[in-house]
Amino acid sequence: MRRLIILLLILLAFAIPFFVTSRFYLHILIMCFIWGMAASSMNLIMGYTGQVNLAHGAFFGIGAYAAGLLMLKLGLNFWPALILACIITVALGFFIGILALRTKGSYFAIGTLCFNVIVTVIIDSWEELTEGARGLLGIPRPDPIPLPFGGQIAFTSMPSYYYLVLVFLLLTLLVIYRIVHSMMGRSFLAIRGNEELAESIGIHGMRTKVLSFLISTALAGVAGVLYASYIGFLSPEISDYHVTFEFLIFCLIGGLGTLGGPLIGAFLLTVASELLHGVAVPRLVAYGFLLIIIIIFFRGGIMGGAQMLWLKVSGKGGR
Amino acid sequence: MNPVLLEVKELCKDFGGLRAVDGVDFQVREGEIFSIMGPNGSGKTTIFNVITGFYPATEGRVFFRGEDITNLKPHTVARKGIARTFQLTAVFSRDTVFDNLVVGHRLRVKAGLLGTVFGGRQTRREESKCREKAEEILEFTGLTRDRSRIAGTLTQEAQKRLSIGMALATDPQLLLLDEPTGGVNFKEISNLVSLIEKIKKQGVTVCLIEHKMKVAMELPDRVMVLNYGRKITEGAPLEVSQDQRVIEAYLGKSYAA
Repeated sequence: MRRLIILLLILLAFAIPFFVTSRFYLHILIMCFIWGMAASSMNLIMGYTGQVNLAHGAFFGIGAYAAGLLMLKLGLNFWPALILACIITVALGFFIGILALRTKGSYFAIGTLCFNVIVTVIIDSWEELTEGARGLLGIPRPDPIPLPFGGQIAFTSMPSYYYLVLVFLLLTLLVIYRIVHSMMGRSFLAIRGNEELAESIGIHGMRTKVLSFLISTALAGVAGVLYASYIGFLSPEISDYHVTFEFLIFCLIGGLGTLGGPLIGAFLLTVASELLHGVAVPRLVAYGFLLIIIIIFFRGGIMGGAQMLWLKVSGKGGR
Repeated sequence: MNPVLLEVKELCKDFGGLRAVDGVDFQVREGEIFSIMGPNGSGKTTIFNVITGFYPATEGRVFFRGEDITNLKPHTVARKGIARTFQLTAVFSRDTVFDNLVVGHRLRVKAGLLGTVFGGRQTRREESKCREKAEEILEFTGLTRDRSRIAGTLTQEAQKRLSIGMALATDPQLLLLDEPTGGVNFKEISNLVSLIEKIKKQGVTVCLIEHKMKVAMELPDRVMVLNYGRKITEGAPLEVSQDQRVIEAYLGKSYAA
C-alpha cells in the first residue's frame, strides 16, 4: 500500500513536465524540490539524531557559494564543482561540528546559530573572494552529459533542470532512507532517545553525532549547489539564519523524524508563499501562527498527525 | 576460587568538597553474584558510574581482567565487556521492545557509510546478526509477547527486564545492575530474581546494588557494605547481616546491641 503510493508519486513527478508547460509552475516545483532536499538533510541530524542544528542554512549557502566560486573564478565544470563543493562543505562542517557537538540540547542550538551568523558575516565581508553584498552573478547551468551513442543530456531547458533536481531529490531521500533503516540509523535514533543509555550500550556518542552531522551537511551542500546553478545568482542572504529557520519550519510542519515530512512541509509552504505573493500578510507572521498551531495540536507535524489518524482508523492504536 | 574479573583499588571520588567514595577496595570474581549494599548516599551508584566511565575517578584504579580501565569512556568500557543498567530505568521509550534490543548489539558489528548507503552484503549480514541477538534476548528475558510494543508503555517490571536485556545484548562478561528491583511491586520481584539467576547460569558475572532484604540476602554469593563512601565489611550475606557495624549503619546506634 505504502509502496504503491510512493511509486505513484514518483511516476507522477516524472510525468509532470509532459502536461505542465507553464514555466512558472515548473519553477515552483523546482524550488520545492531544492527546499525539500535541504529540509530532508536537516531532518537527518535534527529529526533522527535529535540535535537541533541551526547552522543548516549556512551549509546550504557554503555549498552554493563554493560551487559558484569554483565555476566562476576557476572556470570549473559543474560536475567537478559539485563534488568539490560537497567536500568543502563537509570540511567546514567537520570544523564546526566537532566544536558545536561538544554541547548538548539548547546550547547546541544556540552554538550552531552563532556559527550560522559567523558564516554569513564572512561571506558578506570577504569581498575579494565572494563579491560581498553585490553577490555572484552568472553562475552557469550544469554542462551537458554526453551519451555513449552520440547526443547528450543538456540542462538548458526548464523540464531538463526539473528532472535533474528531481533525480537528486530522490537520491537524497534514498540515502536518508537507507541510513535510517540500518544499524547506523539505529545508533542515530539511540542518541536521540537517550545519549547516556546509548553510551552505556557501547555507542560512541560523539563519533555518531559527527557522522550524522557531516552526512546532513553534505546533502545540504548538494542542495545549495543545485540552487546556485539553477538561480544563477547568489547573495550572502542565501546562507542567512532566516534560511535555516525556513528549513526548520518545513521540518516541523511536515513532521520531524519522518522521511516524507520535511518534503511535504517544503512543498506546502513554498507553494503557499508563491501563490500568496499578493496577499498582504507578512510571511513570517503567518509562519509564526502556523508554528504555534502545530506545536500545540500536532506535535508530530502533518506526518505525525496522519500516522495518528491511521492508527485510529485501523484500530492499531494503544500508544 | 575463580579468577578475579573486576578489581577496584583505593577508589576515591570527590564531588567538590564532598568525598562520595573514600578508598574503596573490592574484587568481583568470575561467575559470582556480588552485591553492593549501603544506606542512601553511601556511594554505591557512584562506584558504578566510575567503573563504567560516566564519572572520572579522583584517585584509585579499576582493573577489568587485569587491564587498567580507569577513566575510559563509557562506550569503550561497554566494548570491553562491562554492561550496566541505570537506577532510573532507562530504555528507548519511543521505540519498540525489539528495536531496543537490536541496537543493544550495535557495538559488536560494523556499519560503514558506504555499505549502509549501497546496501552491501556485509552490512546486511551484520544487521541480521543484531536481529538474531535480539530474538535470543527476547526469549531469554521473557519479552517475546511484547516484542512490538512501544517500550515506554511496558510495566515498570517489564521495562527493568528490557533494560537488563539491552545490557545483555552487548555480550558482556560483567553485568552491573543498579537496583534491578527498584520501583517494582513485591509480587513481580521473583520474576527479576529468577532472571538474574538465569544470567548467572549463562556464565555472566553479576554485580548489583540492592536494598530489598529478600533480594540482597538470597541472591548474592558475596556482599560488600558501604557507609559514607567507606567500605565497612564484606562477606557472605548472612554473616554480613549480623555484623554490628552494618546494623548500626542501617538502623542507627541504638539498635546495635
